[in-house]
Amino acid sequence: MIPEQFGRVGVLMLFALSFPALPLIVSQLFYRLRIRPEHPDPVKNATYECGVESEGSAWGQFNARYYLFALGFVIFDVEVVFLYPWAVNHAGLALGALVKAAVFIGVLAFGLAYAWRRGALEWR
Amino acid sequence: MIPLENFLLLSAVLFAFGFYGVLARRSAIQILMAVELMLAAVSINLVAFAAYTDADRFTGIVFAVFVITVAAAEVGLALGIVLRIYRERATANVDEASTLKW
Amino acid sequence: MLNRLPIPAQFDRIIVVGATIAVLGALPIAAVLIALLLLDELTAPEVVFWAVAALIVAGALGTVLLPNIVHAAVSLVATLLGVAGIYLLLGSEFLALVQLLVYGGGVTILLLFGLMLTRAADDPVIADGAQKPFAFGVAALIGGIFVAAVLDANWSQTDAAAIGIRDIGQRLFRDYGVPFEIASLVLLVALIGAIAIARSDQPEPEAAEAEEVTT
Repeated sequence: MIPEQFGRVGVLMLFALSFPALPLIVSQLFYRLRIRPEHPDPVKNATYECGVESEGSAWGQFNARYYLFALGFVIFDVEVVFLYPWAVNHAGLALGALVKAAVFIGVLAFGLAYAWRRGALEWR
Repeated sequence: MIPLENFLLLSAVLFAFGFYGVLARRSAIQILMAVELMLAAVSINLVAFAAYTDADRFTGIVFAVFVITVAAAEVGLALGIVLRIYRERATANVDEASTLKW
Repeated sequence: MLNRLPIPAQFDRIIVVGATIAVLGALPIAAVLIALLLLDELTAPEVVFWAVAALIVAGALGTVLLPNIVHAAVSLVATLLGVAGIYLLLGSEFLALVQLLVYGGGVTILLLFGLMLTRAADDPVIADGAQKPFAFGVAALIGGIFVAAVLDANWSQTDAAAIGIRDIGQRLFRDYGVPFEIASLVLLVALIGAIAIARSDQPEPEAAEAEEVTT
């Protein structure tokens, strides 16, 4: 039965969540108990302490071109969803399934070709 | 064993929240997020009925897959329209895009 | 300039505040559920169901009530992950996978991009329109009707059974071949339509030349 099998995955997930959460909790706890020193400093508080200095706010407006790339990702993400049940048992399926999957990929490849032709894949 | 009613009640509550969000929010993107809630509620309903009352336990699941597909396409297209509106009139609020309103 | 950056100290505060709210909300629920589990009032799947249901409802409330759009988007992610958990409880691991893949990965990224792209720099956050009380009334009415209908009806039900990915593949390609192909057309239309709508207005040199030829 599936819920029992995925219960172990759930335990693993809780374990994984505790990894980032625990240091933050301990750090905050030490700060409350006055064990951790607190001396803020503009350089220490920079987003990157070393490397390229960051500029502007994280809430700045993004370039609209990112959207088309995100959209292409989602469309082909959904394509993968449909091809996954085909891929896990392609040996047990009839030849018709292969043709159907090929038509499916072909239609979306046409979309990709269109995006390419219209320059949606280029960074202008 | 979890009764079927639990899933149906959860989906009803989720749908009502999404409905409220669609009606109350101003930003088109937040309306889209509320629509996602409503679609998730519908999918839960379909899968719950497939698991509990359908003899071959399959139709609801494949419906849910198609709901998710259409939702992804819908979000992509709707956000394209929102971006276009934003570029034309610098707002993403639906109550300010009222040119076609009678 | 440094003041405008989200400094680590602020991240720390945001994380601590958010985690405190989440833990304070989750702890009573978890305590009640574990107590009921130990008292044999609930079975383990039921405990998981109630925990996931609490996550879904809390995330949905956050999605429709939080004034900050980004916070609302993040709580939408919580709801969608919870829905994946519901699919697992209903014995459909394939749908849970699809939910994580498409919603957890794709749609959320798309929505966040939409947020970052349409954010006017000095837009005052007035998230809700004037129709809010009306919306609340209608939503409460709809929810009440649904709940009453569910409680009133008498479902003939069997136990939830698991469905494997292989079965889904068999049935999808045998019985649902045409919807499958139509789904690819829907995706194609969405891709082409969004490219046509969202592209910038300046015509490419190639397209401009083609237009000259046709006119």
